[in-house]
Amino acid sequence: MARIPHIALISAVAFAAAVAVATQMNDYLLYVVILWAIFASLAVSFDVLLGYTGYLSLAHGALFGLGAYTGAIMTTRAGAGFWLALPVAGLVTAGVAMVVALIAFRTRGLYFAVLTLGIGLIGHQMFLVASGLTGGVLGFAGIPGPGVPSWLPIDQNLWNTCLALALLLVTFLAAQVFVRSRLGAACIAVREDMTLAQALGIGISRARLSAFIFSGFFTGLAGALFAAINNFVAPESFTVLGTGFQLVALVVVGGMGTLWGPILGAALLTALPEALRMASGYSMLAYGVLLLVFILFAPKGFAGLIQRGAAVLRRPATRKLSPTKEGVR
Amino acid sequence: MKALRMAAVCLTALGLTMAHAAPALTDEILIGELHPLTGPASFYGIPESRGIQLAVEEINAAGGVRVGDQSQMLRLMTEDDHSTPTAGVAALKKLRAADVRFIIGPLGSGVAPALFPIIDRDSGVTQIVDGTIAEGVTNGRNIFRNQAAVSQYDLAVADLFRSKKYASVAMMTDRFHAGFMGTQPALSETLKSLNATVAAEEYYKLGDTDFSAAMTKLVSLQPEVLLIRGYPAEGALITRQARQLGYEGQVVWEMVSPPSTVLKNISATEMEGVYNCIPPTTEDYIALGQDKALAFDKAYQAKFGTTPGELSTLSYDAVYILKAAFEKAGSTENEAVNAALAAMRPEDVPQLISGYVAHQDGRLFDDVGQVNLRGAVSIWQGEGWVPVPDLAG
Repeated sequence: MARIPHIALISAVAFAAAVAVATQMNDYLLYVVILWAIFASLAVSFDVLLGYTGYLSLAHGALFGLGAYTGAIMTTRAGAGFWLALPVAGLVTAGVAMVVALIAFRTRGLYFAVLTLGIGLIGHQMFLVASGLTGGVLGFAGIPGPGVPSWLPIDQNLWNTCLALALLLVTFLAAQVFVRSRLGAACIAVREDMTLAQALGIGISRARLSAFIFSGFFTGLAGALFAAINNFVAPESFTVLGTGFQLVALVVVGGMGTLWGPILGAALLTALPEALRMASGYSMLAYGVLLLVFILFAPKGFAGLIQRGAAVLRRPATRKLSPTKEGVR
Repeated sequence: MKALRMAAVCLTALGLTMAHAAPALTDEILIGELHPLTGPASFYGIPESRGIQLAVEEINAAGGVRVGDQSQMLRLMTEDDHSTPTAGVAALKKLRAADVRFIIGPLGSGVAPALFPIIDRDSGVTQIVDGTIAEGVTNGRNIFRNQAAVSQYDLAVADLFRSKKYASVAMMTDRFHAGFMGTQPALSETLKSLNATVAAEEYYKLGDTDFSAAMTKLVSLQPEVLLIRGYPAEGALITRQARQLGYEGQVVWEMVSPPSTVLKNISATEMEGVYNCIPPTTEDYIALGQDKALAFDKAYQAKFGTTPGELSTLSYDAVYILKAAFEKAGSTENEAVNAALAAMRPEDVPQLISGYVAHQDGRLFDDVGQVNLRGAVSIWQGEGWVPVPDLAG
C-alpha cells in the first residue's frame, strides 16, 4: 500500500496540473469541472462508507442537501462568511449523520439500505415542507458565493473551480488517512466478516459509526460549496432517486473501495450528460447501459479495469526477464 | 487499455468541440435559447423551441434585422436545460462561453430562479423569459418576461369564482411547481375573501398516476369546485379518478394543457365542461381566427408537420420583441437593447400574436420587466378548449 506522503505528493501535483488546465478553460468547462470535483468529493467520502464497510446508504442525497441548506442559511440569515459556513455545514451534517447512523446501524444489509432510503425521503420532504427555512419548492436564492481574495488576480469562476478541486484534494487525502488508520482496518474487517471481526474483539460499532460520520462531514462540505457556487439551491437537487442513487452509481462505476476509482466514475458520469447534452434521452440510456455493463462485466469498476490493464502490461515485462534469469542459473 | 485511452480522448474531444461554438460573425446576432428538449417537460419545450426557429427563419428570409444602417442576420444556438436547475445553469454557462448575449427561455419554474442570480449580475446578457410563470424571475433591467406570471393566472380563477359564486373548493396542486406553490397561500386567501370555503388543500407531483387516496378524501368533502393546478397529464388523471369516485362538482384547471396531452389520459366526454383559467394560448388565438395566429399555424405545420404547442406563440413573440428592440436601439449593445426593451410599447412589435395589454404608462413591460397577459377562462367542449367570452352567461 502506498504511503501517505507519496499519495499526498502525487495528489498535490495532480491538483496543480488540474488548476493549470483550468486556467485555459472557458466558464462552461469550468462549471463542468466544478460539478465533477464536487461529485467526486461526494463519491470519495461515500466510498469510505460503501466501499470500506459495505453499508449502502441512500440517505446521502438528503445529507448533501442538509450541507447545502446549512451553508445557505449561515451565509444569508446568520450573517456568517463562507469560510465559517463551510465547516459549520460539515459539522452539522456530520452530527445529523451520526444520529442517522445510530438508528440505521441497528439493521444490516437490505434493511439498512431501505431504512436510509426512508431517511433520505424524509430529508427531501423536510426541504420542501420547511419552506420558512429552505424556501420550499421555490428554492433558496441569493446565496453569496465564495468571494475571491483581493490579492488573487483570478476571476470568480476560476476561483470556484480551485475551491472545488481543493475540496476534492482534501477529501481524498483525508479518506486515505482514514482508511489507513486502525478505524479503516476495522471497517474492512466489518465489510469482510462482521462476525469474525466481533469475535476478534474489533470495535465494529465505533468503526462503522466513524465511517458514516466521516462521510457525512465531507458530504456537508460538498453541499455547502455547491450552494455557494450556484447561489441557489432547490429540493430537486437532493432527491433520493437523483443524487442518492447517483452517488451509488459513481462509486460502482468508478470502483468501490479504491477511493480513486470514484473520482474517475464522477468524471465519466459528469462528462457524459454534458457531452450528450443535446440528446439527453440517450444520455440516460447511456448511463443505464454503463451501469449494467460495469455491474455485469467489470464489478470492480473503472479502477478494476485499469488495475487489470496495468497487470496485463506488467506481465510481458516479467516474461522478458525470465530468459536472463535462466541464463544466470 | 488502448480502448480506454481512445474513449477518454474521444470524450474529451467531443466535449471541447461542443464547448467551442463558432463565434458570431459581425453581420449576425447570436441568440441563445434554453428549453427542455428532453424529459417530461419537453412537450412544452420542443414546441417553444420550434416557435423560435420559425421566427428566426422568417426574419432572416425577410432580410434580417435592421440595426442602424445595416442588416444583420439572426443565428440561433439551442441548449437543452432538461428542466432542472443544475443542467439549466450548465446550459447557460455554455451559451455565455459561446459569447451569446441574448437569451430566450427558460420554461421550467425550477430553472428560472437558478438562472436569475447569474443573469441579474451579468450586464453582458439580456434575457426574455418565454415560459416559466414563477414569480420573482425578472428585474426590468436585463431580464424581461413575455409570459404571464402565475398571479395573472390566478386573476382568472378569481374572476370565475366571483362570477359563479362557488361556495367551496378543494385544491390539488403540484408540490414541485414553484410557480403554483408560490401563490397557493395568496390564492387560497383570495378565494376565501370571495366567500368560498377552502375545504382541503392536497398536493401531488409530476409523474404521479394514482391519486385515489387524496381523491377519496376530497370527494368525501363534496366541494363545489375541484381546482387542479399543475400539469395536464396529472390534471387529466385526477379529473378522471375524481369522476370515477363519484365527484359531480365543477372541475377547474389552472394549467397550460394541450388537448393532445390531455386526451392521452382521459376521454373527451369525461373532460366535457371542465374550466381552465390561463391566458389565451396558441390554440385559443387560432380558434378565435386571429389572422397572425392562423398564418403562424400554417407556417408551423408546413415546417414541422405538426400543430404548434400551447406556448409556441410566446416563444415566437419573444424573437420579434428582441428584433424590435435591436431596431429601436439601433445597436446590439446590451445596454441599449435593454433600454429599448424597457421603453417598448406593444404597438412597436406589429408581429405579436399574443394579446398583451399595455401597462398604464403604455409600455409592454412594467418596471420589473413583466408583460400584462391576464388569464381568461375557457371551457372544454368536444375535443378541446373553447374561450368563454361571457362568464355570466
